[in-house]
Amino acid sequence: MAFTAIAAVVTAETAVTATMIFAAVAEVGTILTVVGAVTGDKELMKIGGTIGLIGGVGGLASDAMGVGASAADAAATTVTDAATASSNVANSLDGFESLADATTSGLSDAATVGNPIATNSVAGSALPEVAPLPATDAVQQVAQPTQAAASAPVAADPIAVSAPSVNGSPASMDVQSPATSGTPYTSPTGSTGSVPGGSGVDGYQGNNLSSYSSATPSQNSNSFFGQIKDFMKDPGNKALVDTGMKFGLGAVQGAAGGQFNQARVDLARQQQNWGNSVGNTSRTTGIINGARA
Amino acid sequence: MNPLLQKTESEVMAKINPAQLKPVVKKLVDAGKKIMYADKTRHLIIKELNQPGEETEIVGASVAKLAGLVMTQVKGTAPMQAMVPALMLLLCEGLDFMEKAGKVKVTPEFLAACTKAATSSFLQLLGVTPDRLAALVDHTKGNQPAGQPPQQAPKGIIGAARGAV
Repeated sequence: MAFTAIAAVVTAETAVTATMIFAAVAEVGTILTVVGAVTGDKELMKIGGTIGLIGGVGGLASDAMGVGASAADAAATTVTDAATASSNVANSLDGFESLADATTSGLSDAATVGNPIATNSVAGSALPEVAPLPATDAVQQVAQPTQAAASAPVAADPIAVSAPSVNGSPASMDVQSPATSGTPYTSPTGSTGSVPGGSGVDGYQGNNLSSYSSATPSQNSNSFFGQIKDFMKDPGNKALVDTGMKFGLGAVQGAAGGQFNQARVDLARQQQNWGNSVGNTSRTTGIINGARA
Repeated sequence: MNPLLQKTESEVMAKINPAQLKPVVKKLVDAGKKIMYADKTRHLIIKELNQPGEETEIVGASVAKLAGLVMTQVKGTAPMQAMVPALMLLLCEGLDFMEKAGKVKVTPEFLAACTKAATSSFLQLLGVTPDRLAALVDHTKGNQPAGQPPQQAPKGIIGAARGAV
């Protein structure tokens, strides 16, 4: 099955949020570090460290840091029995193929539908003029309505990168994949323009067809991680990571300090109680207590 | 099993955090294995693995797709803290199978390259690209804590003592 199809199914079935993304990135960092340590690959460890920091600091900053014990418990109980679920796939009439068929027919071959739109070469279609994208961070309403697949304003909240499903079909997501920043377009009405750049994160800006129309991912691993490493070399991003590190180290130091202080208090109590049959740290003094003693 | 793969598996299992997720990871891996080895679906995996291209990238992408299918089967309820280790364990399983079949020789370099490919493919499967990640981090940098009132200038006698005009 093509990578496109699976990516579409994953994004349609799963609300991919920023929390998930940062958690996934952090986990990938951990895994790369672990495998780097096992295989003795220093580069892998280095990449793992970088990726882990991005995920960790990003997650920390967006209050999306990991799952706690309660969430883990919830996951353990609410995660459907994956083995059963998968056996449904394996035992269903068509199994894997039914999924493939569903996606290919549901998508109506996203590549064929999407590519003309991505390249803006739909001749004579009823596509209204593409509204320019605001270059704001906050809202990136990608108005690219078609008649069949009505425009879905893609994730108003840049952080909530949830999967918008138009008409319940993963195809429509792909169809309304916005053109990438800066790409010139010609609308069917003949007007031309260009999609302004913006740093906003919308639901499917990254999930464009040109990236996913191949059977394999659009970028190989070296290019993918290379770009991330380059991104981290930016002074601003380095500062962010440094801040995160300081915050994390400060928390660790504070916890260690707290433990040390507790140990000192315990020791003082122990010394004070030494020789007493009944430990009493708040022994009162005075005439009456003296008389009682 | 190849000792390298065995060690990787045990290290990955040990690093699962929180530890309560270990049963979830095992279930996800079982689900992946069922898809991998079931009679009706096996040929699709083999077809994936036989695609032309760099071997490590193909293996990585195939395992990422498999993990993506498992993820859809559990309707996205599996947390990433379980999903990513499961991806790695499925990679180990796949590599072990391929090595036993005489298709590959798993060396540390090969395993490292496959891991890179699988993780990058998985992230791309989620729609994560370096650009998108950069945009998310940029956005996060610009975030201010919500509901925090702006700092007031000190007033009154104490404020004046502290330097307020």
